[in-house]
Amino acid sequence: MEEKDREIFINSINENRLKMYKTAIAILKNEDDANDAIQDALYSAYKNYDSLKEKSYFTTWIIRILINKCYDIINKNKKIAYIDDSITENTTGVEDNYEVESSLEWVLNKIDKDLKEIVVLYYYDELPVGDIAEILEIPQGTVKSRLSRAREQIRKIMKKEEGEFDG
Amino acid sequence: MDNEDIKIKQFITKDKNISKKANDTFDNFIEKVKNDEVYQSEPQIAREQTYNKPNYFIRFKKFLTIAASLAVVTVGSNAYARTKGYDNIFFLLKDLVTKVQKEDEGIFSDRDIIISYKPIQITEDIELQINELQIKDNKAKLYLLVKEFNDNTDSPLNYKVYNDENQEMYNASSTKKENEKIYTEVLNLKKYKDATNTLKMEVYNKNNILLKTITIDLTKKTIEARTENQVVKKISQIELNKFLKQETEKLYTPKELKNKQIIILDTYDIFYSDGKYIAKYLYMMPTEDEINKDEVENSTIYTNTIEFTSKGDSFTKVKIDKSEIF
Repeated sequence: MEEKDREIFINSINENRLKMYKTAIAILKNEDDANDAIQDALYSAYKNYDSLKEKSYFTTWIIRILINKCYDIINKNKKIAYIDDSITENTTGVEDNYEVESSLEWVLNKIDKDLKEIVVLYYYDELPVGDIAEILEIPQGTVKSRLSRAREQIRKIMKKEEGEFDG
Repeated sequence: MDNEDIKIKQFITKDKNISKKANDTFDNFIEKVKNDEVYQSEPQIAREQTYNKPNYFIRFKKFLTIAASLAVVTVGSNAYARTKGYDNIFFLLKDLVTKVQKEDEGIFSDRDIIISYKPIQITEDIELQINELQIKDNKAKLYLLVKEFNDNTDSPLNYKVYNDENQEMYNASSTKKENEKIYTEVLNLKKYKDATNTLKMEVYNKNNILLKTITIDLTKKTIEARTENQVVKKISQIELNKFLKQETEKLYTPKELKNKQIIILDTYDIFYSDGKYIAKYLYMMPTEDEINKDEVENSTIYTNTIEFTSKGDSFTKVKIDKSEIF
């Protein structure tokens, strides 16, 4: 990779750190596996960076690679089936400042399983519906209908939370 | 996004925490990109490969199919095989493919590092070969093969191994049986860390007199055998393979390389003349499908010749020929 490309690549990775981390954690619910998936995705992205003709699609591209790596791990480890309801059992890395469940995880634990990726990709990764459809290999209509269901469920969760805080 | 979406987004993205471990993963990787060291340290890809194809050994039946077809097209290849100590080309290629795949596992996973260095002369009558460093669950075992040629006064040997920080990882005598002339030593190393890049092994005779210090570079898989006034250095096979892979890839268009991977099998006949090295090498270009299905051996083997100059571990191409089917 040439010096100039390397700089652009590094900047793009830095810009997507949080998105990649949250996406991997949302799918794998396990710090170690998420790190493995991130590492795999980073190396794979580096090796195949030349194949990304339109660099402005970097986020979509790297997230797609990452999601594939996450599913490779799920398939091969066969220890985490999607996002399990009894989540935090496998979560390691308490020493890594990961002891507090974030609002994202809190929401993901309360919505239907088939909505979790969509929520991460749309709200966290800020990907357009078309890109999400491409990444998840489902029709755009399905993405929209799932988003609509997710919105409904999150709205209820937020209301409940506000209610709890209001006492 | 409408107002409700913005509200939801604000709610679920208010946490911006990223674990230290994940941050370290990014930082380490970026450091490697900056230093152009990504290909030297691909443990992650190895995991990917481990996931995809846990069986690294080729199926012999399939191998015979390709070997049989190769026998028809190769002229003089058996002669080459014999120079490498094999009865014929079938067994050489079988061994090469297996070795490359095992080597990949080692480079990438950092769990099974195959170190096939030439035997090191410890004394006039003792040769030692470092064969493998196996790392599992953060426990490291160093496998040595020792050959004694005559009765000698130095045996049994004692070994001491140190890590990068000069901490003692091993200090014990040989476990060889009496009268054993060729034997394997397994050194269970303590204090192995992922960050360990170099091992220093000191070999002592039975009277505890230092015979030789050997440095094992786990990153580049080069080895230096030192005596008081002599350093023996050889080209890193990994660096050379990386260079050959890179230059071979340039011979093909992206379309020809699509879904294919260049695998360097072996380098032979490296000559040095007028400041240039001339190397002949073998490679395969299997498809991803063949790799995933462990059918690498179905791929054609090519040979090529390259001229290059070398400075340290870096190489510069002078000239490369057209590849031919081997």
